[in-house]
Amino acid sequence: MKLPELQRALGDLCLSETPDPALAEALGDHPSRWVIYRELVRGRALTALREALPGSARDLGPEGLERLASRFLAEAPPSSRYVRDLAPGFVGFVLGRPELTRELAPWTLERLRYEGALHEAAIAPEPCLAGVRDFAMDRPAAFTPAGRFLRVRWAVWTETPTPEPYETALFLVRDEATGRVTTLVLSPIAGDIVALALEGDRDLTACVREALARHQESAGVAFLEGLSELLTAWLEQGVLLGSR
Amino acid sequence: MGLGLRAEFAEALLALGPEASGVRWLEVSPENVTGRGGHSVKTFRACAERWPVVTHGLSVNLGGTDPLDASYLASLAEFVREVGSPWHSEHVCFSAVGARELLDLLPIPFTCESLDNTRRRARLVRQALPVPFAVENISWYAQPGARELSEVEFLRELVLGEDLGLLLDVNNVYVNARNHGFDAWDMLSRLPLERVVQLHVAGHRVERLGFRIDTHGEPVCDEVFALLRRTLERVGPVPVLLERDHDIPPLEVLLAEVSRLSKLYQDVCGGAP
Repeated sequence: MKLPELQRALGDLCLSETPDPALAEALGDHPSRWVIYRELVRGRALTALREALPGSARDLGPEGLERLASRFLAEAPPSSRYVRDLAPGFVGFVLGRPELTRELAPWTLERLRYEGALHEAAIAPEPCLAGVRDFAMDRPAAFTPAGRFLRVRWAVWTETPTPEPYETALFLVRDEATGRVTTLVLSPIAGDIVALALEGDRDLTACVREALARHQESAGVAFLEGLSELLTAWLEQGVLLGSR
Repeated sequence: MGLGLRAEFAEALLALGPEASGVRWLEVSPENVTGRGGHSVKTFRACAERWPVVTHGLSVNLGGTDPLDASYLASLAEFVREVGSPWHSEHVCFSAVGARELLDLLPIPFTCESLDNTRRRARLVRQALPVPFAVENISWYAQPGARELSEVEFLRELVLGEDLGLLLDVNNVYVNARNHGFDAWDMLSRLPLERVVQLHVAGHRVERLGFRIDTHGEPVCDEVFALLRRTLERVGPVPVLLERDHDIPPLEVLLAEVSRLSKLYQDVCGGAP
């Protein structure tokens, strides 16, 4: 075999779900030793997934994680050179293949989505301030690209293995001073404000007004003070970069 | 004495600093830092302000057949320049095929076709970098295809033919020697040692029947210490780096290993490691 064929054969042997025994024979040398590479490649992928998605790994169990990872490696193998991109790729693959996860507990996919978002927030590139202006309520808000917003039906951000039903909105924010990610559990109004603001086409005052109207609330003193404190904190932490 | 920087102990190391830790320089893989933000990048930057940094790549796919990624090479060059690395190194292996990233170091055949391919690609990488380029010998467990050259012949042709540096991984030589039944010193001494810019040492796992896997997950064994001593006696005072990537122990345990390596270095080379 020529060089490209040899490398393709070793790639197939490492990534396919059930490798063809003929691949090891074709690669030559000691055919039984090629399995070492299969174990190393798959072991590294599993370790990266367990580290990035610890709660989901626990939910799925070792065999469940291995089964899904095996399908992922065979059908949607990593296309990024960065190990850090493995978990987001895996989460996207599993969420896009409901037939693979029908037997799982109802919160499992939600925890996977949550942990995938948490990982993405942790590794997202640092914010680019081009086009960002000083913060003003009458302009659209500019959030850090590290923020992740999601709605959940289970308390998947808690450590508990069997989370309670809890319908809410989460905002995963990275403090740019420390680089640490925090999960904010938002009130219904705050959830709507953030969701509307992240759409990016309306000024922040309009987002606040619409969210209040949806919940038939008005902007009392306590609400305005709370909103002001939150926005100030987000501006200090780099969660909110300014306005567009 | 240098240490491969890992997120698991970076903060603890930073708190100690260069003097108290005994770690004189750090090796960083650009793949762990570039194109991302977050806590580990901030910690890396803080470390880079206190220690000299040498860059060591994992994914350029030097011996591969997929096209080299020009945009990655450009960002790599920028990173190498930014951190002031005196050279950049990569493994003599392939890591991707058919746009599938294997995220590991896989062996390339020791054939003329493979040598030509690796030389051509090494030339392109060297031209893209703002600093000298060095290549590292890997641990390999089987050889694909029909061998036409020995590993020494392959590495000599690559390093001397393309005017490269050699990052000599002493543990990899030892692991290969044990697994494939040759004498480690004999192999090592036939390499172009005048091209060595840096040495690596690490631990490996011994499997059943004595087969050895280069895990970077165990302490450096006595035999590798002995081989390192002999190598330093031959090549002189080149920088030595301890790699520990898995099953990372508490930092004090790792630093005790750095200290043992430093003593060996001072024994052989005299000056500060």
